[in-house]
Amino acid sequence: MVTILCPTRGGKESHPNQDFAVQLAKERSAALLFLYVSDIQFLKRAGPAIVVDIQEEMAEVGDFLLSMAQERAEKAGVSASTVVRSGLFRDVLCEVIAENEIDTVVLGSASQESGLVSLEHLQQLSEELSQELDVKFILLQDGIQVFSVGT
Amino acid sequence: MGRADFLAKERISLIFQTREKGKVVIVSGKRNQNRSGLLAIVFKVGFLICVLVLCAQVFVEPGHAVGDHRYILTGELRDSLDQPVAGAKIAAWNTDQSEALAETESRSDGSWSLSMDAIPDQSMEIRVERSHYLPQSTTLDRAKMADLRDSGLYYIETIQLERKIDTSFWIATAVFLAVLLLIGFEFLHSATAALAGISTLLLVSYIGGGYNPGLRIFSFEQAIGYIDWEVIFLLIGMMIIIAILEGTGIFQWMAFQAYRLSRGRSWLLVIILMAITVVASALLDNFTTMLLMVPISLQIGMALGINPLALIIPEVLSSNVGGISTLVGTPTNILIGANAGIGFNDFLANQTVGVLIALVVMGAYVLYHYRDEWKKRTGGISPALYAKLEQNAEIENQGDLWKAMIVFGLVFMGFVLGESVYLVPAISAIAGATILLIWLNPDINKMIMAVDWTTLVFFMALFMVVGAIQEVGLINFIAGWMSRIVGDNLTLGIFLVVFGVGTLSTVVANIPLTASMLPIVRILTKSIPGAQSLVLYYALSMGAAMGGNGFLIGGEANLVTAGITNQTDYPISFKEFLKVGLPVTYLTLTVGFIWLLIRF
Repeated sequence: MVTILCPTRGGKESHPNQDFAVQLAKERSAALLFLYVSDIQFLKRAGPAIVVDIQEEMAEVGDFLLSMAQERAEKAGVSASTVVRSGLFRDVLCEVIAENEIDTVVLGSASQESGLVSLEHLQQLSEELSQELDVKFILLQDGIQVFSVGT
Repeated sequence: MGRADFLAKERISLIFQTREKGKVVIVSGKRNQNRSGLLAIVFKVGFLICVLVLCAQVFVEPGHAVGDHRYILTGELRDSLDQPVAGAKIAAWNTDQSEALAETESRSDGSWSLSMDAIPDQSMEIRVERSHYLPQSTTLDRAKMADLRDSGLYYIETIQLERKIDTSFWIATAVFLAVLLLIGFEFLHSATAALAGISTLLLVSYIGGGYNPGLRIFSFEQAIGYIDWEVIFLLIGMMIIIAILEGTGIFQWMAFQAYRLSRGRSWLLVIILMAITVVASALLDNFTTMLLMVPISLQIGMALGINPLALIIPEVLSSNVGGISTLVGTPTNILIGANAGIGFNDFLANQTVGVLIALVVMGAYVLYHYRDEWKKRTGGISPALYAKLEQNAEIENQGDLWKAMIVFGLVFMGFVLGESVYLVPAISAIAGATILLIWLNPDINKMIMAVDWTTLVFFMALFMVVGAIQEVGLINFIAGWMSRIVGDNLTLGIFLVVFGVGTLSTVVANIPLTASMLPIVRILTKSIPGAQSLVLYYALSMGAAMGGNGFLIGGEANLVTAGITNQTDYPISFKEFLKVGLPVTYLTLTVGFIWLLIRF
């Protein structure tokens, strides 16, 4: 059975991309895996000591966000599973693709206003990883396919 | 010479009284020794006496031992802003000879006294020298010498020293500005920047000063003297208590209860969350408060179907303002409290009402700003998601929570009641932290690691860097300039401090800003009529904290909040924050200013 991976940040901006992944999984009768990656590198530059276990707090946020995505998929008749990880997005993505024998990755670029990662950056990442890992990448913007690469 | 005489005699009689008391203590100690006969007690009493005698030796300032001399000259040194000048070398010279008759150093209150066994017949010259000041001298003519000879005591009218701008002034100023820029533009970590600053200043003083005295800024001992150890120990104590309290999950639990109580009314929810944040930030530092509040608020916002930023941005604004009402609520208040001797109760009495009014105004503004969000309604979340949210907000260890709350309560009692017995807040905080460590018995290494040594090093280095600009006179120049603008107008002074510091604080980190402003405010407090109520310190507290709301870069709490929300689909942009933060800043500064005018 093929598995589709949908990395998501979980808010309303991600809904069109999540819906695309759900629809794709339904059409191909594929398994769907939602991924949330938190990167707390920004705290390294912070002045005060981090007494709060922020990694655990962010894992809880990720778990909650993916549960919402999971419910959304279930409503559309697709059973989805979830993975929450911490680290650099590229590294984590490679790990999860390898661990779960992913066939297709649905990557969504956030809209221009709130987007932290540009479409160009994601396109470059998709090209590199599709060659490296032999995986198909579908790139979306606001739920509309704008680019695909790989088998 | 009537008043001068009186003052001088008063000082000397105090010295003699102290010496008499010293003798009584020693005699009574010896009597106890004879009466008891118990070796252990003798040893303990003897040891105690030795310690007391040693302490007396250490704490007696130079120039006090005047009892054995026939002639005593006293006086005071002041600068152009009528501030005492400490550490100046005062020497009496026979005008005919090249050798000093006597030498002394001015004390912290600027007073000095010279003791001599013999004095010249004709005249005597008093020379005053201190680094970063122009040398000054005054001559005692034949008539004054006769007075001194007759009474054995002469009070010289206050000598005013003028500041000298030399190379060290420009170096200290440049280093200070460089430290501020390095911190402001994040070229270096704040602690690294401050350490680089003090290292440069000391290297210039010691290496450069050896070749050119004009490069000598201050000695290592003088630099260390500028560190406020009360601030450091208060921070250490509070950091340990916070580390234990935050681990219990109490604030996340409170946020979840707010969600439950609001029953989907997001306008009510934001008010309750703001109130929780105010309480949390009055007890914890703003950075920790936001680390605790943002993740749970993100989940609650999404569960409600509204933009979580409509909850989170009001929270971060509240955290920056909420801490103003207590001594330990913000690091800037800790600095101000220790520097001006403003206690926990003073902050509560003089700031709380003003802060509450400012929060009400802020609440009204954010309710208006996010009015479209409150209209959004969703069908709520599924029972499974609700259960997950509840689980994420669970109190993790109820036993530890109760113990931490009890000790926290005791520490606060110490803050409130301690002032009447001169128990400084740092002692209450350290004692509370120690009790918690003994009671809960956590891993001590973990707890010591929870102490933010980076911030403590930053504070210590910063104190020394600011000390350098005090030493060379930059602070005096700024204070003098402000004094000329303000004149005798206290209202204008309060306005300038509240809005000037508030505006600067939107872009400059508020800790170095406050540390730099404190000596200026100290001078203005003495020079402006009516400012002796310490109102300018409260103005500084309000300006520094409220200004942090202006821009996203205005405070650590703002940046960490943005860092967390950037992990989701709700990043906080500079523009987004500015639209709410800047109006809130000037609204709250206006409320704070009006409150200070009413209160003082």
